[in-house]
Amino acid sequence: MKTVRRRRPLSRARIVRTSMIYSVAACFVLWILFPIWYTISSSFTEPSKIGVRPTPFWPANPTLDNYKIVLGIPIRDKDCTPGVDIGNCQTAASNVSVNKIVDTMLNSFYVASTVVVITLIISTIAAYSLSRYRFVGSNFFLNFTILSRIVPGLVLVAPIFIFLRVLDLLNTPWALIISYTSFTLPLAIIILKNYFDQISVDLEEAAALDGAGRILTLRLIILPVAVPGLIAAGVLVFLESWSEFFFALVLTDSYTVPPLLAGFLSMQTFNWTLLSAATVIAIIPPVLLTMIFQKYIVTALASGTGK
Amino acid sequence: MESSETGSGLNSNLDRRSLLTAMGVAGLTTAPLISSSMMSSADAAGQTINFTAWEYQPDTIKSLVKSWSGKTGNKVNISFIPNVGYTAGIQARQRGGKPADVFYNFAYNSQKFVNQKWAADLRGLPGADKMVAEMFPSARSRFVAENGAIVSAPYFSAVHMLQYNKKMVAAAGFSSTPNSLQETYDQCKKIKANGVASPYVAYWVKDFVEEYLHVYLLAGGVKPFDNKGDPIFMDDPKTLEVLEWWQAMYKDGMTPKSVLTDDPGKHTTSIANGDAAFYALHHYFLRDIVESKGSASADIAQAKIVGTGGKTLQMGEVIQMGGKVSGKKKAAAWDFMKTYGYKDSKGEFSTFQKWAASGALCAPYPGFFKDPKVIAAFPKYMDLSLIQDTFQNSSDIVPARTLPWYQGFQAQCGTVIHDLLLGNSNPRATANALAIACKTAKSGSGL
Repeated sequence: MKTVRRRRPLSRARIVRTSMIYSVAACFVLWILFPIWYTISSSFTEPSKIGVRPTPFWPANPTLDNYKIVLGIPIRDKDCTPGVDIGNCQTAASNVSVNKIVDTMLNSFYVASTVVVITLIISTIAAYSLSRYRFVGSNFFLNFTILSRIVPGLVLVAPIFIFLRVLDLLNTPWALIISYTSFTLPLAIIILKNYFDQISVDLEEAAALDGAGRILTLRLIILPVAVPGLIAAGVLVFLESWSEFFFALVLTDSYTVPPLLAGFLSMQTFNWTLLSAATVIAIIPPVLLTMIFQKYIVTALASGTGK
Repeated sequence: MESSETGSGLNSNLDRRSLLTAMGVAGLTTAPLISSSMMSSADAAGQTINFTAWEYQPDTIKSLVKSWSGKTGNKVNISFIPNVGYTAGIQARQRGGKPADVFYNFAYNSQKFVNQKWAADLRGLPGADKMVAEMFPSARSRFVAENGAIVSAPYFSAVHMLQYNKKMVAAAGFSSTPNSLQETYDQCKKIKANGVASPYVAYWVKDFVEEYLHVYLLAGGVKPFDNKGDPIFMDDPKTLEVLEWWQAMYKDGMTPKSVLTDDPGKHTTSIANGDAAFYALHHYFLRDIVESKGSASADIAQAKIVGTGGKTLQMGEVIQMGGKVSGKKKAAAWDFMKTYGYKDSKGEFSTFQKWAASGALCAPYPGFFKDPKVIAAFPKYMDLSLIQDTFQNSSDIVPARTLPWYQGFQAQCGTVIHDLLLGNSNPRATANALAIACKTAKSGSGL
């Protein structure tokens, strides 16, 4: 027999509550999206039109010139009179580093990927141990791991600089890989320890009964189950390594993306349109990564909340 | 570095102006003798110089370095640090034991770096005295400390100028740009009445407003600091007039309300599109305005901040030699610095010619403005003779701005001035607060 489900009439209070929730959510989304929209819009804007009032939702005459300049593609300037109005026109020296964005993105990708691999290997073992074993100082170790996230990078940069100078690793990708790993490890350990805590011990006991040792159990039983946690930790570590500025500034000569972007603000000359174009290009990999693995990130970060 | 210590005691009681003048005369007469008897650049071939610069026109920097390397046989490793974060970057490298041999620096850090022995005293190097002697007298004290130490060479220099819309000024019935701060207000008021909502723009953000404090004090005929670097502006009644004017400009809507956070790019757009009539900032910003090709770009010209009135601020950044550079490398580093911040081996301003063409940047030497190659290279829409006259006769570097403690004052300035502009403080209280900020910074100087 077919049953007809009658929708419960909405009460006035419920309508008000729902409207308020959606209004707040809409404001929050706008607040988050506004800078992104402004950056994208600016990247298609001519320099002379940036900051005009009223601010248009989208530039009237969108241009790809900013992207071309950033990527080192020559642009044709039909209004230019060489030697008269704008110096040397197309051949005029750029105020900023152009044609470096792709190289630095590849550098950033290499550094961030290596950091992810190293961090996940070490943090998986550390987090599993903290989750499954009670040993002398395990609580202290865990608390210390959390505390190490509180220490500002500014304090650590000098000793790390000296350490890397002695090893002759300054201005190499390893300068960043080593330093980033030191502060991404605690993050990954915390996430993975939390995730391992959610995995039933019964699985491991069953594996032990079948004769599997700890390492084999971890490899064959736990890791496949912990894939969402590993992905989430990996993505967060990747994002942190991708966007780190200060260590990259001090330990290398603009080897990765963030210092390169900072170079667009120079001597009171703010190249907003070029900066916007470079930023849009630079955020593509992390945005794609986050979109692809979004559900794992949410699952892993939410794990433990229902305890 | 040792000579710096010795010189300190000998010269501590000598009047700063007399010292600089004497150095100029002595330099001009003895430099040829010294330079022939001391090490030459030829002795220093085959060296590797580590050069750190901030990332302004990196391709120009590379071509300058390549040119010098090609001529001398020395190698230069260039390290670029973004302008944002440059001080932190360079100090971390100094502290971490990997200093550069030659590096860009902000003028306000230059004496501090020499005191800290992170940068070398250039006295005694061949041609150093001549370099100082050939500068505009008004510029010398940026490069020479009170004890006579030559702390740096010029990277570039600029003067604050008033970029203005010729048509708007004429349409408001004025035959010339303002000759005083009061006239600036009056012209803005008339232009505002003509329909320009915010006639005056300037880079008044917290981090930068200290430069404007000096621009306006000098325009108002106030000497901000005495020869010892002690603040004296608060005792001058004209200071209160300047601060009253400044507050009125903001409160009466002569500027946009957002001027306290707007960046130069926005101001450039504003004046280039006819949304503002005046834009006070360094002379080379006229290049940005013209090149942005806004609807009013062709109507923009340049004038002194207060025309025939007071002076304006001359600013600039510097290059320094690392404190640990010695031997043949020092000779090579100095040769590189001379080419970069003074003249090349042929006696030409080859580096500055390039900066003039690519960025409309200036050098603090009268000879720079007479150089035919500079004249040819400088953008045609800029009045080079006006800029030269401003350097020579109508500007001041405010020597206190390079003293080791000054950055502490600079950091406080933004909050104090913004309080004034926002109406949270009055001119008298602001003058007092600035004086206290000076004294506090001075008493707590050091890195």
